[in-house]
Amino acid sequence: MQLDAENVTMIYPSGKKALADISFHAQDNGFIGILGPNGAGKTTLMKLLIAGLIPTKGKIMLNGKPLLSQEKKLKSQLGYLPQSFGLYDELTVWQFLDYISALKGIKDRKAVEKVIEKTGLTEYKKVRIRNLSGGQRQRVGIAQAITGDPQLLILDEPTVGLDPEERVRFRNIFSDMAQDKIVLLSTHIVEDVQAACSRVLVIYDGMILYDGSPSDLICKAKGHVGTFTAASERDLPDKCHVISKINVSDGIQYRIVAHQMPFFTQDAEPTLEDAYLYCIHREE
Amino acid sequence: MIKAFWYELRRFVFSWFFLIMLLANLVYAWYTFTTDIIQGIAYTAPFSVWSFCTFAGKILPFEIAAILLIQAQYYSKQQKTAEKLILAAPVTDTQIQFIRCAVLFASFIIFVVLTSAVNIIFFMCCFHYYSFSDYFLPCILVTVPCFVFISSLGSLLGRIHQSLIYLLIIISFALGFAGSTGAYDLFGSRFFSSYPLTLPVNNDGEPDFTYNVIWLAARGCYVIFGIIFMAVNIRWKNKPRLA
Repeated sequence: MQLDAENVTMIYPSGKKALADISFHAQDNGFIGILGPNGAGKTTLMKLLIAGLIPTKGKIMLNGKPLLSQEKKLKSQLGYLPQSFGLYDELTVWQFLDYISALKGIKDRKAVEKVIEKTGLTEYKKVRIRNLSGGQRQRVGIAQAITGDPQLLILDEPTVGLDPEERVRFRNIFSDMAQDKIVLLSTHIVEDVQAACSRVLVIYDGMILYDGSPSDLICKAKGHVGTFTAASERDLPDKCHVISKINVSDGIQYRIVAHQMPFFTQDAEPTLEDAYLYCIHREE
Repeated sequence: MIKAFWYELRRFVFSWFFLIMLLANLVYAWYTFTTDIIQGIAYTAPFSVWSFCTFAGKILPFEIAAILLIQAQYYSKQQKTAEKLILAAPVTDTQIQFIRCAVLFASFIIFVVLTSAVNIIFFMCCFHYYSFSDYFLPCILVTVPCFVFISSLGSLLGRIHQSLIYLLIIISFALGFAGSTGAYDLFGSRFFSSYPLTLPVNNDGEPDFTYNVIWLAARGCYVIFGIIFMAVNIRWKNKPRLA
């Protein structure tokens, strides 16, 4: 499977420009993390990729043909988890997943059992959805997305509401699925991308600021991350962005990113989070 | 799609909401039957087709209200958020609309059959009257066009705003209890309680059951309008999504 976005611009009827002339290519065996702050355009991009919106300009192609002309084909290979979603509270977990598998045209009854087991919902499969906790509902959302082993998995903030152990579990599930499929993971949790994605897209203000491997992104931030200790925030240099601050015996130790590091800082080895923040703040 | 239909149906049928509405309909059917119908309509026997059609028409606003309340749930916030998942599946908007129509119709059949059973069981037990096959076609002609018209209008209004469905419930009650007595009576009860009075009586002292041509044409018009509303609704759903 191949998915291409070519010079895509999305302007909502309200006049808000959500995406500006973005292009990217994705194909099988790709776990792509989409990073960006709230309002950057991640969700709009996801909606465009599932044919839920029509771009104002540009084209989205599936296997070389326009996406909108093959919406049914796309959806037969799609697993989608939106950022916010509702479930049929009246049904049990098993019934809801069986219902979704019926809509997806999946005949294999074991498919539902498989995803229930995979997502750790076995003990809740006969529980009505209205009686589930937030994290359990999120797991049902993930389960419906991966039902039928789709070729294209689009996940918008999938790990929100999950405890740390579950987040690791699901990262591994998505990572395994990405071996022979396209998995697009939109998130603002850098740790999820760092742990699992082979490629990262950084979106900011409707534009793709970076498209490449996480390690290359980290390399770009080398020499732009540093630490120093100061007595108070008044001593902070201009044009730098604080990533973290820790109280130490002689004041506050700041970790900052800046395009030009002040002379008094000590160089620090950048993490993906540092690199992501450097990438975004460089644009401001 | 059949499995999807069953799940959609069971969401509503196996709920307290449905049970309460069904009980309310049965209570009202019993009340109508014991106060009005048992005395016979327009000087006909209580088990005449005229009386049965009046009975079916009198309880129809309540059945339609129940159906509209179910339909309103399709336009609730919960449903709209769940649709994000449903519409990502390889089903068309049209298929979803058909499933919904089928669910509403199946629910309507349950209401009509069970409320009619109040009438039928009473006559079977008390009068040993079993000629109910005569009721079948008139019952369909009274109930189905009204269902098609109002549920299609409801789906169209629901697309605009959920609250318009509640407004339609009020209008339906108004038409059911204070509407026309002519052939255009949407619910039929007022027409069937007055029309026999205009017909000549037979040897048994009551008019033979006959269909009024204008009434039949009106029923046909309601069905055609219902189909038009449904077609508009399906086309509306299929419009390109801009946002």
